This record gives sequence, structure tokens and C-alpha cells, in this order.
Amino acid sequence: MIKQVENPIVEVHDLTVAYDNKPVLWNADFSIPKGKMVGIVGPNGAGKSTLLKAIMGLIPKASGFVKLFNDSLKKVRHKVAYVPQKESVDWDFPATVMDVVEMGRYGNKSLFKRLNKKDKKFSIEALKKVKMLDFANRHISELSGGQQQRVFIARALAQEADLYFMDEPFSGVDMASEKAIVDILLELKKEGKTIFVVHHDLQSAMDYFDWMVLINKRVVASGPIKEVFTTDMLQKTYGGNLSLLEQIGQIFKKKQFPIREV
Amino acid sequence: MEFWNDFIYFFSFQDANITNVLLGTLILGFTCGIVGILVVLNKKTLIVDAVSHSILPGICLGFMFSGVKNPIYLISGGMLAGAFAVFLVDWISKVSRIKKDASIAITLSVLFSVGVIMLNIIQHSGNSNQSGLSDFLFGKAATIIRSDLYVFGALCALVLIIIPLFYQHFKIALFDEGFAKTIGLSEKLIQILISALIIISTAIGIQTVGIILMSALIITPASSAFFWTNNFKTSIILSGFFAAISSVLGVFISYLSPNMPTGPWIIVVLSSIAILSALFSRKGLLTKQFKASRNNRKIISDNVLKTFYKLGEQENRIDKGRSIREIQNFHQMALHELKKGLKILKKNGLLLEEEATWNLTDNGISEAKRIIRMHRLWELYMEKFMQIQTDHVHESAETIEHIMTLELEIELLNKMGKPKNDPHKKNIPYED
Repeated sequence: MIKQVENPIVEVHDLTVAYDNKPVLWNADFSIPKGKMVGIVGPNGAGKSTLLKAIMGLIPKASGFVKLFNDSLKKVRHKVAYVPQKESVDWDFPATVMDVVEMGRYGNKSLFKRLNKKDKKFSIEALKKVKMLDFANRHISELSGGQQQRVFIARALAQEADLYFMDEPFSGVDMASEKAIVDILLELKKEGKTIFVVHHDLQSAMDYFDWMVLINKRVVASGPIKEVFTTDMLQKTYGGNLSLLEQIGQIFKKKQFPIREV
Repeated sequence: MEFWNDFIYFFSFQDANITNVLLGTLILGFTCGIVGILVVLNKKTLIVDAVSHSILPGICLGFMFSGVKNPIYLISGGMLAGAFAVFLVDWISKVSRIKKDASIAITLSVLFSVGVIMLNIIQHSGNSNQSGLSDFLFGKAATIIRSDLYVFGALCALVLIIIPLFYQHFKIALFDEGFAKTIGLSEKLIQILISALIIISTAIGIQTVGIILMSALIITPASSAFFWTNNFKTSIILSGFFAAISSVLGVFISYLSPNMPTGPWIIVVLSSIAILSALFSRKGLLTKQFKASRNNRKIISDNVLKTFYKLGEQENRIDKGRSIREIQNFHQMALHELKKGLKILKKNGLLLEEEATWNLTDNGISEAKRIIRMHRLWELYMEKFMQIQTDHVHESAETIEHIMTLELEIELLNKMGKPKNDPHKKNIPYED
């Protein structure tokens, strides 16, 4: 069940993503309305992070296209913020918490310019929102997992975006941090912003999201949570046997066969 | 005496040749040091080795082309070969199944052997200009002449333009590549810039340090700098400083004993800095030792102080003088530890010694009260908020009493009011 919407803020059209010519996400095609808190849910290895990275242009698309704000990513970068998995960076890098948050301010301006007072103020505000202001001058290696995640969220807040993509912001995070992050996301939603969250805990998914995209190698469902979060849909996402898909993927890889004819 | 004469002569700029060598090594050391930080953070350390080894055929080519040892030809040739090596490493790992580290090793050895063969051909060509070309293997600072300086200076200036100009690019991309891409920062640009910086600094350094040890001049100062600072900018400057100092010292040492190659001495000095950093910096090994012994002193002296309080509590006279025997009878501890504790407390003005009896000073009384208070408050906290049984709270409080801060005390008191007794019904002392 995929519910397409009018005037979507995110439109994914026939998106296939392959690693080493082996498709890992097939024919994703869905659209999301503005102002929703969207959960991307599915089992391990379903392609959740892959979908996010493909939308953000971090990995090449084997087919299809993505439109954000009815435009290409290149033209709307300043309105989009991405929060990678915290494991993707080296936290021994010589930087303080404040340094990392200030990186968010460079999203909106030339990297050759210096930050001004307004930028500094914004960074402080962002840190305040994630309750990490006391840690501003700490080295990032001194933080716990939850605190690292909050710093990443603060950097995204400093970007002043309208659309947020967050990859597993709740993984390896303590309860207090999870609650703090959820509160921030709800606050963003109230301001009319759209948030995508890769998530794998079904229990809390019901409470957090109002729109859900269920994924397992393909998009099983996309729609308002009440319509999508059903036993039937979850069974299709988590159960089922996709060995045929796996086999055909292997053939693509082995033959290095083009994923689309043109 | 002779050493000092040499020292003064060397660093006084009297001798034009030495001045060239000094300035040259200063420039190249600094350049390699600051580039090193970017290289290490970008995990490109192996590429430096590939570039430095492949510079040899480039230099030979430059010499064959010009027939003279003109630095412009040699360095241009070297840089071209370095760029070719970077390209080759990428290309091999892209078009084949060979992984990057293997393709680095392949590129390095192939180009280096080509270089050695070319060097051999040149040496037997009968061109008398070639003498000294083999110094590139281990480096010889004495070969730096005025015309080298101009080339070094120009290349160093280029580095000093690139790094500050693209400072934010480097900082963001080296920390978080994914994020950098999403804000439109081109990863290709960063990789090209860093490769260019590696090639430039290697080309400058090779004459002095030599091909084999070149990567150490770039990697070691950066690795040392990370021991001292958590700031990106400071680490760049510190690394440049370490490398510049080591280069100059290394050159000076090799000047004292002629016919000694420069490269090894520079690296020996650099490595000494690295070892000292590993031992003495804030994150160093000896610092850990030092912290451990400081903690130990704190535990001993706090425990002695507590004994004074508890003796006083028993007899209701906290200000009464105590003998060593009395303290030992009350609290079992080794005599040398007790004496050490008394000494520390006396030095800190918490105890006074008068004819073999020891008295708490006013400060001593309030510090003793504080430690006891921390201990008993923490016991209460564990019982009330952590659901730990009364007979299990003491051990944990024994350590926590030493590390409690004023902020935490205030928080504890806010949470629990100003309780009168601990779980064992002992009185919790407050300041009057």
C-alpha cells in the first residue's frame, strides 16, 4: 500500500540503488507530504540507510530520481539537513562540541566566509535545545553515545533546514537522550518541518511517527501510520522470503549486467 | 667548548652556505609538519610513502631532460612523478580487484625500482653534473643552495595559501565526509588538494630527508601534536613547529659530524619529540602514572584526616592533639603511609605538629568534616535513591568521599534537604 500525495515535499521515483552492481533497494516509489514525522522502518539490511543516502546523493542511483521541494537536491541543499549515523565519523578528531555544531552554519553560507555573531548565536541556541551547552568546549571524544548523537542533532538544527533526514538517531542512545531527541523532533514538526527518521524499534514507532515507510529491499508501504502499521503490512515487511530477489541480484553482480537497459 | 663554537657559528648566519641550509630546512620542516595533520586525519599516510618513492624516477627524468641539477627541473620532475603515483594508486584499485593498500605497495615498489635503474644509468652516463644525485636516497641538507631556497619558498607559500583558504573545507570534510557532501562540499576537491599538498611537501623535503624517511617527516610531527591539543588549528601549527625544530636540530647535528646523512638525524629528533609527547602530554603514559600517584596521596591523606575526626567524635573533642600511636590504634594503616599522610596534611596547612602530637588546624577541622559529610551523605543517597541495602553502602562511599565536588554536594543537599543522620544513625557534620 503506497499512498501517493499531492504537492509532496519528498518524491522518490523508481529509485533503485546497487552496491557493486547488486541492487539492494528495488524500485522505490513514494511521496511524502509536508510537515510529517516520517519513520523509515524495516529489518536489518533492508536498505533503510541506503535509501537515505541515495536521497542525499551520497551514493549513486542505479535508476530513478529524487525530488525535494519539487526540485533537485542541488538547488535546495540549504533547506535540507542530514544526520549520519554517529558511527560514521572518528570521534577522536581534534574538535570541540562547539566546533562541530558550527559546521552546521556553513551549510548556508560560503565556506570561505567567517562565522558572524548571528551564526555563533544560532549555534549556542542549537546546543541549548539539545541540552548540551555545558559541554560546548569539551572535546568530542569525551562524550557518551547519546551525547554524540545530540551534538549531531544540534549541528542539524544549526542548519535551519526545513527537511531533516536522520539515520538511526536513537541507536546506542540512553533513555534520557532518546527522550530529549524526540522532544526536539516534535518541536520541529510543530514548526511545520518534515523529519525522516530511520528507526528499527517497532514498539516506539507507533508513538513517534505519523507517517511511515516500511522497507525490506523494496518499499512495502508508505502512508499515514494508522493505515500502514497493520499486522498484514508488518508481515510483508518482516516475514516473507526474498531469496529470488537475492539470486537475481547476485546474477546482476556476477555478470555486471546493466540495471536498466538505457 | 668546541660544541658551543660550532653552535654559535651554525646559528649566527655568518656563513652564507649554512644560512641557506638553515632557512631551507626551516621552510621544509614547517611545510611538511602542517601538511601532516591533514594527511593523518585523512588516513592517507601510506600515500606519502608511495609519493616519496616515486619521486626518484621523476627527479632522474628531470635531470636527464636538463642535464644539470637545476632545482626547478628536478622538483618539477619529482612532482609530476608524485602526481602520477597518486593517479596510479587510484587507478589500479578502481579497475582491478586489488585493494588500495596493495596498490600503494605495488606503485611504490615499481616506481622506485624504475628510479633506481634510471639513477644507475645516469651515474654511468659520464655526465659529471650527476654527482650528488644519489643523496636523494637518504637526504643531505648541505646540498641546499640559494636557488633551492627560491623554489622551496614559492612552494611553501603555495601551501600557506591553500591551507588557510580551504581551512573550513578541510575541517568539515575530514571530520564528517557524508555531512560535507550534503552541504555541497566536493569530496573530489578535498582529495585533489590533499594529494597536491602531499606532493608539494614531499618534493620540498626529499632532498634533505631522503626518499626512505620522507613519510616520517610528515606523519610523526602530526602524531606528536595530537597528544597535546584537541584543537584543529592548534594541532596544525604545533605539528609545523615540531617538524621545523626537528629539521633544524637534525641538520645541526649532522653538521657536527660531516658525512653523516641528514635524514636519519631529523627523524631521530622528531621521534624523540614523539616519545616525549607520548610520555608527558596530558594524554601521556607518565601523566597517567602521575594521576595514579596523586589519587593515592589523596586517599591516604583523606583517610588520616578522617581518623582525626572519628577520634574526636568518640571523645567529643575534635581539636585534641593526637599521637601517631593513637591514630594507628584507631585506624589500621602502614606506618610509612600514615607518616606520608601526616606530612601532606601538614604541608597543606590542615595539621600542626607539636612535640609528637598532631593537631587539626581550623581548615583541617572543616576539611575533615567535609569528607565525613560526603561519605555519610553518599551512604544516605545510595540507600534512598539507589535501593542499596544499608550494610552495602559503606565501601562505595569510601571512595566517593574523595572525589565529590562542591557542585555535587549542593545537588545532593538539594535532593535530600539537610539530613541529620546517615543510614548507620551517625551524625552528619555541617559547617556551623
